[in-house]
Amino acid sequence: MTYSTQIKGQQIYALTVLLGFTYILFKNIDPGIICFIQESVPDRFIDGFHHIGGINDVMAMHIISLFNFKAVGFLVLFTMVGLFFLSLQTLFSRLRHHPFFLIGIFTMSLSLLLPLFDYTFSFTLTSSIVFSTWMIALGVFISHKINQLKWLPVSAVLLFNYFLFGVPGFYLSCIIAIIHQSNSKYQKLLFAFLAIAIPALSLITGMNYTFQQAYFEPFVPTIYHKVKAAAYAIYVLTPLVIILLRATEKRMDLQTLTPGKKIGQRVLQYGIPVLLSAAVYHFSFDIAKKEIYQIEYYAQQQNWLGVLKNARHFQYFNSKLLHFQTNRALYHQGLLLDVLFQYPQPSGIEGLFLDNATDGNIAQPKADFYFEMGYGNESRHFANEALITRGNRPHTLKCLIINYAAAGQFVIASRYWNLLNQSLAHKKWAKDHAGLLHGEIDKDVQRLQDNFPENDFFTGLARPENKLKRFFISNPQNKMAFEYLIANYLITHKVGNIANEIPTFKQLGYTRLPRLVEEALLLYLELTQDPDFDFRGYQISNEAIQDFKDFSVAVQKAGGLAMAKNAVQQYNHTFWYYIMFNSPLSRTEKQ
Amino acid sequence: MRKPLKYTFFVIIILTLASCSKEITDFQNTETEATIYPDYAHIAIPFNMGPLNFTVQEQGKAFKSHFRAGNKSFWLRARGNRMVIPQGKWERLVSNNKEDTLFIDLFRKDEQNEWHKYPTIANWISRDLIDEFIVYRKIPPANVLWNEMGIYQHSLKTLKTYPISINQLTDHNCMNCHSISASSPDRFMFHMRAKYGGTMIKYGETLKFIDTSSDYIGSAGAYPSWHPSGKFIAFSVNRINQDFHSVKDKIAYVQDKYSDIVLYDVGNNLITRPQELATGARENLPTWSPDGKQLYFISAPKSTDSTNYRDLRYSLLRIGFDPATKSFGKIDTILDAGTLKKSISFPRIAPDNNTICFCLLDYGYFSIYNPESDIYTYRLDSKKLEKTEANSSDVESYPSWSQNGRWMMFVSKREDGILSKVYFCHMDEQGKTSKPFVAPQRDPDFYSRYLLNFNRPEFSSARIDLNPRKVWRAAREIPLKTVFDEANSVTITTGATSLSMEQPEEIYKSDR
Repeated sequence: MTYSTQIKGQQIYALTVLLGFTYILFKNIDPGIICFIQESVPDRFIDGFHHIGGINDVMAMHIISLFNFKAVGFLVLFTMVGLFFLSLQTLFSRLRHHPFFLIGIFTMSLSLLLPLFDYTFSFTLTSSIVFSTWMIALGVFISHKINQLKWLPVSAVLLFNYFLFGVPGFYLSCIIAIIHQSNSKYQKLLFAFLAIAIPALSLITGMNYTFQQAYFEPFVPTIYHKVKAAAYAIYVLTPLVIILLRATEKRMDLQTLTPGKKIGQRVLQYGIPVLLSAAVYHFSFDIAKKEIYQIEYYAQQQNWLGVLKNARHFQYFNSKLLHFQTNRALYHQGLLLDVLFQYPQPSGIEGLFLDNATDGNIAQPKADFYFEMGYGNESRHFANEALITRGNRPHTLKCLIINYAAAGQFVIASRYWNLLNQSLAHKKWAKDHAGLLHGEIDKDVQRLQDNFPENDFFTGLARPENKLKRFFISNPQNKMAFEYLIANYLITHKVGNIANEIPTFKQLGYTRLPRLVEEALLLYLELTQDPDFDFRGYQISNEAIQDFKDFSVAVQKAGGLAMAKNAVQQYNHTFWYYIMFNSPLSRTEKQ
Repeated sequence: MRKPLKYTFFVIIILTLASCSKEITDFQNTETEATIYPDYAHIAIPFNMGPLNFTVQEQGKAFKSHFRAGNKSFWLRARGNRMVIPQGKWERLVSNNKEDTLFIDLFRKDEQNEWHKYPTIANWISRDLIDEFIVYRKIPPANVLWNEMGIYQHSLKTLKTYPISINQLTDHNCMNCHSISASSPDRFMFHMRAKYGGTMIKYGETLKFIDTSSDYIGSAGAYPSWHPSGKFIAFSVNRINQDFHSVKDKIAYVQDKYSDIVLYDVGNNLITRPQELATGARENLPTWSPDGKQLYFISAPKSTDSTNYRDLRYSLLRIGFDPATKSFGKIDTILDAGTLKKSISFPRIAPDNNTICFCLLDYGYFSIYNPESDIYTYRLDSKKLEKTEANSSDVESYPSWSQNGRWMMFVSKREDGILSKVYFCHMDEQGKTSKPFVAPQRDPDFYSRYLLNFNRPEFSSARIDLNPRKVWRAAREIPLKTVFDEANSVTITTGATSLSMEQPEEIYKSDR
């Protein structure tokens, strides 16, 4: 086997391992979650010229939108990384005799897939590195084809890379250019100079950047922007590997090795890619993190069973947002007032409404919540907050389009529709819903229109119970509003309010009282000893009555609160257990 | 070297010839007017305004237009349906034909390659100058959170937009309530909140960063108004609360629990709390008369828990001011809300010192959230209250005057009910207004894609010499604390404005 055939074989092998790794990656991470967290409708290409790295941002968003189509996303990703691999191989072909040359390139390529394990890691870093590398390879190729001004194509590419693909790819391409031009001291100096001079152009031509931003964006941490450590690692890895390969070039010429050492090296050459892939996968793939994001993703997709299934793993995870999503799932599965306390409720009413939180991350879930309830103004309000803080997310745009259409504001709905229609992945949705812009009504629009209150009232921040009451009074058939009101009473121990709503259960057609309502009633009756309470034809189940008796006896027998908690552990899913031991309220309200 | 030069010259000739549009002589007349967007048909335009680029909202294979005024004209071929008017040709045509009509003949080519002419659009070229720049804040249609925000200046002549301050450089803080003194670009200020909180004041060549907050005045300065001399700024200090409606056609409601007006001495860094303007009533939105001898403001009764928001109405008041002694005189009520059964907001006095424009709305003062808000004028000499013809069925707000008092600028949500845009209309000596038109942009499609609000537009006669980096450098300094002028202020124990120990509630929050 000739040496060049060996190299080709290794190349195919490395690409195959890379392909396999990408496939496994896509099978195990959920690309839908990446879209959920990062997808934004891309700007027009022409708008990408308005800021440094703008074209990179536009292209990255287009690629992310393709992750909605799993197979296509996989192919595009592999193509990107594969071409990155081949670009580096071409650029540094002089190092092909180095036994670890292909491993080095493989490692650099693999590092670009790492960010996908962390769903929140901005894909724009990866795309900046990839696109810039492609461009510098093109520049080098052109410079080899011309006889004069060989430095010109590469210099032009560097300028191009900075303004179009941003700082990360720009510096990498400068390093590649410097290392590549090892024969020409002057060209090296020129490219080093350009690495400093080109960012300065952005300071001269526009006043919209600080010095740090011009030179180091997106590696400049601010109070609102934390740079992940992995970003530095990924960014440094590629030039580091290239420098190492260059530095050890002469000592590692494969052809001078003894047969025994050659075998050893072959083993390393073929084994390292597989081992490295396995190690990266093992140490980077955090299944817990995935399942947490999956809860939020499933909630957005209205996959309530998926939410509940994942939530079971995180019963003790202290996130208001997760509690909120879990409670939504319980409602939609018809279980909210039966099994609410089977899932921890340490956030109290915040776990129901999230109204106190002012954070862009929770704006869209709140918009969705009110959307489902049919409370149009609140849904629109929070969707607008989400749009501003999290960008042109397709889901947010859809929410706004429907909300504005329901409110008869077709002009603004059309604007958001036009924006959404720019995204390939969501054109179908846009087409299917185009009729809404002309007054057509679907079930979502109908629900929103049916629930607009006739009489105005203020929503009030941080007073969800008040607004819910007013909303329900305006919409007495709104089951979701009613159940959340009851859940609110359960969370806040208002057993008397629950007792007062028994007639409402009848009006809304409940065939039986939900289990937690029974439990609340039992406590209410115990406290008030009301002999004339009108059950409106409902009967409290014998099971609930017996459980209450057993619970009460066990608590009385136990000496002290701590012992009582242990004694009634089997009732930890009940309302009584919640108010005694789990409620965030410091006191029990008397009704 | 000669060959490339020859080729280049040749290419230039071809391109120049290609850009010239041929005259259309063979066409059929159409009766219906063409729909153009933005609507720049049958308006009065200032001679020194840049080209009014527009799109033709009709179906056609190609479009052309013929711009003519006096004995000059030029033809223009649309790029698709976009009429992008060459700056130079426009300027020469319009500026040389003041007090004349600008005719726009619009032609459409159909599928059979036949040309059709729409009825001619006739615009009036006013000889009245308009201030060259407008300064505004870009904010999204959100109410609590923000992310990117900035204050910009837009040239009405070149249609270029320049950032004055953008919060990407200042840790995404909030910037608001900019104000400019008598359209002078040398006297400009705006507030910043959250990170780098303070007030940025540009006074001549100096840029200073001050902190107006104080235990004496309840909150940092909010709504500002520069004295025409540039020596003082009147600020309101407010406890602002925001709430949200539940009915379909309304969004938010902003009201002040309390508000006073204080006076900031720019040269001496002193804040005075005059007793006349720090009563139990809610004094707000100060604005100076052009001669600087009167301070106009709005005032509503003291806040009570039982006050229904629909009953909260502001009257228009005025108080005399002596700049030499910094003393205030007697308060006059110009327009009483109780009599009008309406609320007044954002008063601005015209350069003639006689005409006041303001918003009239059903309640409150934060007119941008009141769809019924309209612009009215009031003449002090004749005491005539008039509704301008510039209004629409949706909100008009924040009116202001050009330096010569002939152009009125305001924001309106007339197009979609959500996003506010800047509009202009001409006002003649009799107070008659022309049809309003939206601020022109370089890209005729600009407004069809723009999803932010134009907030608090102010005129400036020239470009303000500020850019985001200058602002960022100044903001990194610790703001200079203003000194409270106790000797000339009403004490905090007198005056009916109660000082809360709580921090004022922010209308906006950053996204954290």
